[in-house]
Amino acid sequence: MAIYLCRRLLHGVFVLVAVSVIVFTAVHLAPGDPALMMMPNFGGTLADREILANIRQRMGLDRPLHVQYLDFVSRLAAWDFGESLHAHIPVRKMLGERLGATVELTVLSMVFATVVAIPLGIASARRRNGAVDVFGRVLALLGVATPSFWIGLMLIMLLAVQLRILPTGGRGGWTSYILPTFTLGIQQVALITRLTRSSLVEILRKEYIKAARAKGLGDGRVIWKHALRNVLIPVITVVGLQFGTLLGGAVVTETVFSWPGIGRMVVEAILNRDYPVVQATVFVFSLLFVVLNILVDVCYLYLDPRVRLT
Amino acid sequence: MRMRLLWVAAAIGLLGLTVPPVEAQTPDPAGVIRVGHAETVRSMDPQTHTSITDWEVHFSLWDPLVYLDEKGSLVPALAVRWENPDPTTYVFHLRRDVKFHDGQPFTAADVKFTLDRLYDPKTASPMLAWWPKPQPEIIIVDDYTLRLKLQTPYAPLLRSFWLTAILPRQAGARPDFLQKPIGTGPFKFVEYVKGDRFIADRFDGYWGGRPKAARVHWRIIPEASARVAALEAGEIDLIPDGIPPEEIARIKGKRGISIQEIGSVETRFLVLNNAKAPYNDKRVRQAIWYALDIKGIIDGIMLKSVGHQVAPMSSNTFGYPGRPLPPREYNPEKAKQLLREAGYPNGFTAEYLVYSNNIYSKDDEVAQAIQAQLGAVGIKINISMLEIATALAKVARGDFEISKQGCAAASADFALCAGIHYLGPRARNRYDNPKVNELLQHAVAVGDPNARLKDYDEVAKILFEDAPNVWLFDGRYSIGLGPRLHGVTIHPTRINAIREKAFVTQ
Repeated sequence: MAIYLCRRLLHGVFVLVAVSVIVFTAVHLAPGDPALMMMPNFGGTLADREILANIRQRMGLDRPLHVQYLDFVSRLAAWDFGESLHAHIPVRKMLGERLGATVELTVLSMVFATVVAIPLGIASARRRNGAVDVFGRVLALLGVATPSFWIGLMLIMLLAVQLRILPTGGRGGWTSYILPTFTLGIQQVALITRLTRSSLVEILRKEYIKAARAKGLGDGRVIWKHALRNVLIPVITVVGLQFGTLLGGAVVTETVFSWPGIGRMVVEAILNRDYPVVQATVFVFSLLFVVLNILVDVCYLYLDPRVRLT
Repeated sequence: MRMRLLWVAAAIGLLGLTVPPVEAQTPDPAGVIRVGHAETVRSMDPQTHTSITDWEVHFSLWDPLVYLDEKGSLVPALAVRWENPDPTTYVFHLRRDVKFHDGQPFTAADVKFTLDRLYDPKTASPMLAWWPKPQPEIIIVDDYTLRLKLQTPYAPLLRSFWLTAILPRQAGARPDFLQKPIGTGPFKFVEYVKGDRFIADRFDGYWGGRPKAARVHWRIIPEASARVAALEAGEIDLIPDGIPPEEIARIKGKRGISIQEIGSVETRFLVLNNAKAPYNDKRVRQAIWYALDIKGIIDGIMLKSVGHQVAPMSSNTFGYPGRPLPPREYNPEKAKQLLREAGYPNGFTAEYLVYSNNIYSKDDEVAQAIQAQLGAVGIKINISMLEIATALAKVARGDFEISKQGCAAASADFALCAGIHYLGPRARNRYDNPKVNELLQHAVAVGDPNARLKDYDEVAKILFEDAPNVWLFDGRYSIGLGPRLHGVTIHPTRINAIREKAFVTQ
């Protein structure tokens, strides 16, 4: 187990080094200039060369690329991402403020999604073409097919503007979590319900399930004891991957609900070419992805004894 | 008796009419003004940005030496009066009753500190774009008198001061100054979370009188529909930076919401690359202009949320002609004739560069309309929608043909946009007309406002004839005000909206 974990961790470190090179190169090779973005009326006059040179110097962009890369990596080792080029705020502080908001929203919506979707998927599979199954299938179809910004705006119009029972956005008291969690979670509900249902339907046809039934076990015991463990393997894989995707991909929901999350921050940073913020965010996300993948693999070990530590 | 009853009834009637509004307008001493903004407040450093939103927020914390009032006149702020004894000398007499938020008195040394910091290459201030070069000599005559000596005359100087927050020399030199900024403004800093919020509390010792609101809370709400929903739900009191044109009619008057439409200092236009064929031919540039039904676009797409641009500057900017030119007529036949004369009887293909991230509202729809209208005279447009940083880099390199852009003159003076868009040989459109250059340079150097206006008048006529850019829209802000908010005066620059007189009712 320890050797397996060490090997996985080393693999993770290799991935992160590669990410640091790729993100640095991509950010610096992308067309656009952070200094130009600060000039009056997007770019200022072509005569303001001296001002542009001063801004580039202050941002440290006048140094050779390899020096900038080494500076970036040596800071990374100390968990220091430098300062935002525009805001003069340490990127670590910005990440801290934003990452918390995104993790909260992602965890809540994944919890909401699994709590709703797994029982719904099981119920649908047990009574195929029954009322619950039809409801689950319609819900899944709608959840996957409806864009989250539309769901978000409709919920705002109904619950916040017309009925005034929930806030339109922002991150404040517990009521402010309801709409963004639902909006972000509903698509996951759709996905996980479909997945749980189809896995369970397939597994219920297996020989060992027939054997369990032949032994005279009750329906509940067959499902909970024998089928569910196997159903959960693909579900956990998807939940783990979706968790990672949502961390970075919740930008639409964050924008609609003015949620101060990391997705919005990184989009703004990309538009303004705020290099340290983009680099740090991509790096931290990659780190989270690596950690989540290791956690998912560890979960397999417990769920499926056939997965060997190789 | 009956007469007396009538009088009483009339008095009650009058009371009935007048009392409630008076009651309704009593400031809530603990009231919080909540503002919903599209744009992020980029920085807490008032010298390293050029963003209207940043100014708006910063001007609750800081004051400049002079204000620009909503009519465009310069009025005293931290300076009670000023003199201009010769074209290169300015003397400022400062207020004596001003304190910073930390209790330190404001003196001429603070103004010197501010200007020294602004000109310091380490600050790398983009604002130097509208300050005279080299740095003027700053002489502290006494604690409340300051003399500025310029090397050459610079007419927009006072307007440059209007955009410059005066910083405290003691606190301003501390390394944590930008984390805990201190100013002389009506509100003092509480919290800034980039991309989310900015909060400032009433400063009881404000020189302009105790502010009526206890707190101002700016929230960043990037999505336009969500911003309007927040105003409708009563969660915010003010949307200062534009409401989508299609939302205006829907929410006007609803739940006590009012919409104020205010002429802005912004214009939007097509920048043509005058250094590239065929745009180096005046006839082609004019043909593009004649081919566009700009009024149709304003009415049909912009839903009259903007005006028709008839001068190189907006109608709220210094330099706007007293008698503006009529808009160029929409005449596709004339456009075709001009194209034939220029040697393009079958038209040509052009790239239309536009920012993708909705910097200017309805950019995509306007692009499609322009594509169709130019297509009708034979100019085939390929729309290239690029995110702003990439698009800017292309324009800076001169690697573009037609690009839709805008210019907001934050100083409400044409000098800034003239420098960016028309002063050769460094104009963005690569236009270089010696006569225009001479007039624009003269307008910056001559002190007499009337002489400056005469220069800009002549520039406007030449630019209309030469068509280096195609003028489209004269900007307007549509500002949404909630029913609780009072005492707010929105300015054509949009800066300076929330000051000591602004308040909310209970």
